[in-house]
Amino acid sequence: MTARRENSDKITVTEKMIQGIAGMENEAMVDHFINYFLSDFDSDQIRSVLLKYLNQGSANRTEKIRTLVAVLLQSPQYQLS
Amino acid sequence: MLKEYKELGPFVAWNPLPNSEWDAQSAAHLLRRIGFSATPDKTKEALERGLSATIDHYFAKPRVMPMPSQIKFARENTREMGQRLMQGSPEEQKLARREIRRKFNEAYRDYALKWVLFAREDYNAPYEKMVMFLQDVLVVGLPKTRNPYWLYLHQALLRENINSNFDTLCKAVSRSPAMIKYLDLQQNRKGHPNENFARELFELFILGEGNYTEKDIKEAARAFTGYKIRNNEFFFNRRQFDDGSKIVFNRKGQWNGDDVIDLALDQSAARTFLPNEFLHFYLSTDVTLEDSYLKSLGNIWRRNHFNLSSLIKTVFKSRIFFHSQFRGNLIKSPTHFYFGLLQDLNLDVAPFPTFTLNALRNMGQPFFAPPNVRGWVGGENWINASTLAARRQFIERLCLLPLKRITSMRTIILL
Repeated sequence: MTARRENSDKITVTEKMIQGIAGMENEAMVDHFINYFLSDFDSDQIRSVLLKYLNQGSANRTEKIRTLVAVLLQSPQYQLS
Repeated sequence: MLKEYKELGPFVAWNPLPNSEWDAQSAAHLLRRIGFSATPDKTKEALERGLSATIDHYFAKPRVMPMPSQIKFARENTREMGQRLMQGSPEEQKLARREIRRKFNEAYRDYALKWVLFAREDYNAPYEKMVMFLQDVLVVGLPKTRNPYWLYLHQALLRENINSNFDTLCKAVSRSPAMIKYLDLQQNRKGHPNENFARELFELFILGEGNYTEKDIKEAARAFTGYKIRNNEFFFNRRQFDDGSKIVFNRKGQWNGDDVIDLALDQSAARTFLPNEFLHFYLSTDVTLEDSYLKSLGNIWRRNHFNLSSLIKTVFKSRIFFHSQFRGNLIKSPTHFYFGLLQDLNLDVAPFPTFTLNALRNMGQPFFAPPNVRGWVGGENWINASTLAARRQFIERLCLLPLKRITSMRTIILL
């Protein structure tokens, strides 16, 4: 186990992980992440903010996805179980 | 409107959740509470397995964490290092002391990282969370204990006894070298009793404040005389044991330490104390159940001979555990948050002690180093400006490090 871990490249979110999800439609992606990370909460407001963010601007898409995940994980709801 | 748990009633509350209410949300809630996360695949597995079988899956089979190599080194060389401390010039003794500190510090870091790797595994996570709960009740800590090998032994003992009766666990803990050191049992001898262990046994392990007298503590302390550590193991020094008659909880006899633990568990407060701690850890830090609910749970636990496995099963299967009032209401501890993140993102533990252990320390929960004998308070105490910043920073490292910039995150927050 330790040897596998020490050779692991899975200690931060990789481009490969992001690419796996980048093809989704924006709405489906936001719903997927909200369902995944914040399933116990009413998340209408955060959903609309995240969608607005994904739909606007010209930043790199994978960068936007990383940011979106980070924002969800930093939300007050994710601090709760 | 959120319904209140009181709608259930104190007896029905502890009945198992009806099969008809076992759905994906319930399965996810169970996984997040008994462990650290509920990924869709694990939730699906639990849903298909069923509530009872899921609890058995995670708790029935005993686990053993292999002894980390540095801990072995510390164990095997403690004696030699101790001898070096006794011999030589003051300068040599100073060097030896420094060397021991360095070796023990390395061993502690190695052990902490190995435990994090062990507990990160999905299958081990709920079991290790239960170990954490027991560590938070039967508290010992590095700053006073100092010896990481004793901490390892203490944790292994808790792990071994997850499915035991609580009296068996308490008796084993009273012989744990880490506990003997932490609560000064070494200084407790006939004619010179030290009350620290007896006091915490009643106040923090079995009964809670107000359920014993100062006289009970004084008499009980005499029963624990003669408890020593020799060659890293428990040693009973019969010559230092006070074998005279003692009166504890109004019962007179030539009690020894094990007898006192049995006497304490005979008190009615023992039925509800640990269950209340268990609920505080797993159900809610801000809602204390009404006495009638606690008594009802305590009676079930007592009927099952204070068996920890029965407490686990009763609570985790109960209707109250899945009540809407207790969904999404518990602030994750730093350790819960850390493991939850890794599991949710399907990431491995970074095998770098400084990165991993400092993250936990900065978030407010260094390994085996609680603030005092009461352990971690939990709840809102986990969150302050500095620990919240540490959580944010850790997420940025996991998610955004490859970008080396976080400007876009500031943009989204302003939207």
